[in-house]
Amino acid sequence: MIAAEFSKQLRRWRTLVLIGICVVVALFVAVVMAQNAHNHPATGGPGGLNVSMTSSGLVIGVVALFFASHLLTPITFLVYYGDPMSSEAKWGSLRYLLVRPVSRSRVLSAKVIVSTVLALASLVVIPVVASLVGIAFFGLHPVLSANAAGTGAAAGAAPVLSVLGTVGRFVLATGYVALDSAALAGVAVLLAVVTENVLAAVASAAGLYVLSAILGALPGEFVSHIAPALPTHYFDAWLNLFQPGTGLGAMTHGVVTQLVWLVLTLGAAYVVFNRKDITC
Amino acid sequence: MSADAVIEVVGLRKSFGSVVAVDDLSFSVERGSVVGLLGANGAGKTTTLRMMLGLIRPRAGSITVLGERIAFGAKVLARVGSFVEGPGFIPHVSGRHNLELYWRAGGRHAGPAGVEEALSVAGLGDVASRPVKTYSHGMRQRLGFAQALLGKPELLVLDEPVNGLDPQQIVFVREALLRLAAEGMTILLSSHLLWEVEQTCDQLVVVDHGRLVKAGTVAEVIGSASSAYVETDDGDRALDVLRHVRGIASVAHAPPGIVVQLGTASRCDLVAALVAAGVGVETVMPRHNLESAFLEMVAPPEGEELGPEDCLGANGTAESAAMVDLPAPALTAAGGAEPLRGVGP
Repeated sequence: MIAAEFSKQLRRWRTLVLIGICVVVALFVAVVMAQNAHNHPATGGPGGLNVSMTSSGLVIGVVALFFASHLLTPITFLVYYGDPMSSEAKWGSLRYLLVRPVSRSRVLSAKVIVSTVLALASLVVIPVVASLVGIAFFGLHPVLSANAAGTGAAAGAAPVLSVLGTVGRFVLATGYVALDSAALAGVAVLLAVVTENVLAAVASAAGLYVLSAILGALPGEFVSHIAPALPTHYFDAWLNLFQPGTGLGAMTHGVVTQLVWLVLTLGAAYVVFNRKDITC
Repeated sequence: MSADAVIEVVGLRKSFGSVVAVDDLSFSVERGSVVGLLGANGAGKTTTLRMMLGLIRPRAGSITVLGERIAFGAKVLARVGSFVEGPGFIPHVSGRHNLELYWRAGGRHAGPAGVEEALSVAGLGDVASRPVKTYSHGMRQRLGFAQALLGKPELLVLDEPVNGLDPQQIVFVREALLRLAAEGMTILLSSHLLWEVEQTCDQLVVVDHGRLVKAGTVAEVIGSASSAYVETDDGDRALDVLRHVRGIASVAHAPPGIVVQLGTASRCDLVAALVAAGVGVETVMPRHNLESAFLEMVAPPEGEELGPEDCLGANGTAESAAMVDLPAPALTAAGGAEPLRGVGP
């Protein structure tokens, strides 16, 4: 079942195009940021990242991941998760899949698993490609803080992160970004099951993402109460991985929040799909 | 459930909001029979088939297929081939690969699927490697038919399988169905192409507004109101002779011929009478058919007359469709008031 689903998805242009876009964006961001860092070595990373951009090529990968995590990755995940079920409904092949017969949970699970693998593949190429470009520019070295490497204010600075430590954190960061986007993607799966419409599923989930981001940015007591439950509230918490001395509390909260969103939305999708009359 | 029943529908009911689609429907399908499920658009045929295939849940009643009660994902559906509301294929994948994916999606090995054989039965061997998005409507329809045949199912459930096909393709599918029926496959065929159904099925189930109207053999459903169309070399003399033949219910002019309501007489009786009276018989053909019987049984939806799209002829728009444009009294051949204009043999 999963092999058949892979076979379907890998033959779709949208799969190849999405991966291609991720590679192109990673290359573009990496080259631009590397050139900029080369010309302005004192500049720190984005999002308050206090590391030297020129100290290691791996930092360019971190920067690319940061840029991608705000728009490209969520959209990519929404398409991967929101499209397969509603496309089957649109083509009319969903009813034939179900009369095969295949259990509805199994159909949905196969689609979620394959979507997860493809979404992760599209995500992983971003830091990998960007890091390779970064390594070509700055080599593979331990990461230094922006202060130590750039301004010289922190004399005799030791490496902030070893190469191995950076790679390990990279893996964690990529997983966290994936979870960020997967929480929204769960909404897309639920909407795809309910509406059987690709556009409604992907656009509505993207709308939720925008709404969550706007709400999270608004001031006020009410917003401050609900903000921690928003799927975008802890979106950038993974940057703390690259800032030693910063606690991982926000990341932990983020993981819990995203898991709650994911479990609730995917759970609802399974319940709805298992009870739904298939009229498409 | 009788030992030979492949499908047993009991007290089936389904509504969508306030609209009752199927209402206390019961019928059964015996093993090896070819059963036509007839009804106008919106009569509840497709809803019934969807419930039969575990796609939608009935509000009340039950469906048993090959001895197993149907629910979502019922295992017995693996023994059923289906074609419901048109084909459904992945457009960027070839016809052959679509069938393979469909088969493998059930977690089976491709071996017993018989993909090539199904493609051959559907006459798609030459184009099976092309992406489905390049197929014509008819080719997709036939690919859907091939999909239903995968794994040689014991029961074939087909919903409007020849809809939109050209006459050659209709004949092709009809012949394939007759071959499969001859091999012992049980077939439930939903259609509003009555002429097709009449040629293919041996049993009929007629539904209207979600309710059973009549079930039985084709002859039983058509009833005793059969008529014949006769052309002779002397119309007036023939009319006079036929009026005196015992068992003939009524005779009416239908230029250039005569329509005879047969009653208890047979076509042989009326030919014999004409020949004995020295009238030259040029043409004799059965007149009353499933279409007129169907139109007598099935009421048009409220505020609507049955139109050609509800009851088409052999090729969808051919001459037999013209009869449904006639006002209802003219269609009632049993009444004998008017000849059936424009009706083919």
